[in-house]
Amino acid sequence: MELNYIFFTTLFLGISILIFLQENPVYSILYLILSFCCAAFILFCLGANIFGIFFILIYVGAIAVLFLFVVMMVDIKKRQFSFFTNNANDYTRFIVFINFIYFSFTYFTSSSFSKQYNIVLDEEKYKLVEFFQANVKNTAFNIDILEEMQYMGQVLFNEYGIAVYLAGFMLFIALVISICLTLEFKQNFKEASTIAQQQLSRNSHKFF
Amino acid sequence: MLLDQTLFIHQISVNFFLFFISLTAIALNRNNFLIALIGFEIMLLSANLNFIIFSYHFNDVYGKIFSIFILTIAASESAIGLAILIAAYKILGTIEITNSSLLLKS
Repeated sequence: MELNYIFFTTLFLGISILIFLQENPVYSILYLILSFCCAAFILFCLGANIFGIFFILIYVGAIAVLFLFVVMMVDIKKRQFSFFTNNANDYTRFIVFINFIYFSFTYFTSSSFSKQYNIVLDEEKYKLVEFFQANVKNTAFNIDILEEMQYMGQVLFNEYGIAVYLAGFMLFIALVISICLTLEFKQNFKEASTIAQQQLSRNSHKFF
Repeated sequence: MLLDQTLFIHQISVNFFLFFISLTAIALNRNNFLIALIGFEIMLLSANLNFIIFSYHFNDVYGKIFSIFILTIAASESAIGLAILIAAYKILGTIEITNSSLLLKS
């Protein structure tokens, strides 16, 4: 449906502006998750179902949760995170105004609106992908998705097989680097060894 | 499957505005490192959406494959950036960049 597309694009723009206006970073990360979900729904509305699923799996399931874990680990209660010095509520009217302008512009230039009033005559060009109706008809087993996935897999694992290996190696290197940056070798080893010696010694009741 | 022409143009404009918003946020952000990381993430998302939209519009498979590699790049970039953030927080105690950067303090 086209109205769903316009609704989700307006939400997407408004939320992506609101990310950078928050004082508390937890709220900004929650808005980040909402914006990723909106991007996925936009792709669903456009007919790119596989990439909507990929976006929800990777962006929401991996990256946004990583941000959330880091915000939980880093202790922040001060007001050192204000992007602008003013409060975010001062900008909400501006954002709502911009979103209203964008919504009206996209709605009046969309093809369903022009179909209603017979402005555009080429109807074969303006066939829309009706996501919700298609899902009601073929529940969870869409033939177009299967063909597209087969074609993508053939191209990805034949032509770009080395590139897939390199991408996996890059993810492995990122894992190793993130571990090496956050580890502290000497202190942790000493503390663990002393505690283990105290626990495993014969006079272990002295430890407790 | 070919996309609608008007939807294509709308989506390209949305991607441009996303890129512009995140770029202004990174440029104007003076004290917070985490907001800058979120800005990089949204810049990569807009580029990714552009690749997907162009590939669906021209019925080409290579844009979709490139978008998968961009997804892996975004994941590794966010992991390394957040690891650097935690290391800086251990040393400095805060995440503010400008007043006390890691290079100036050493």
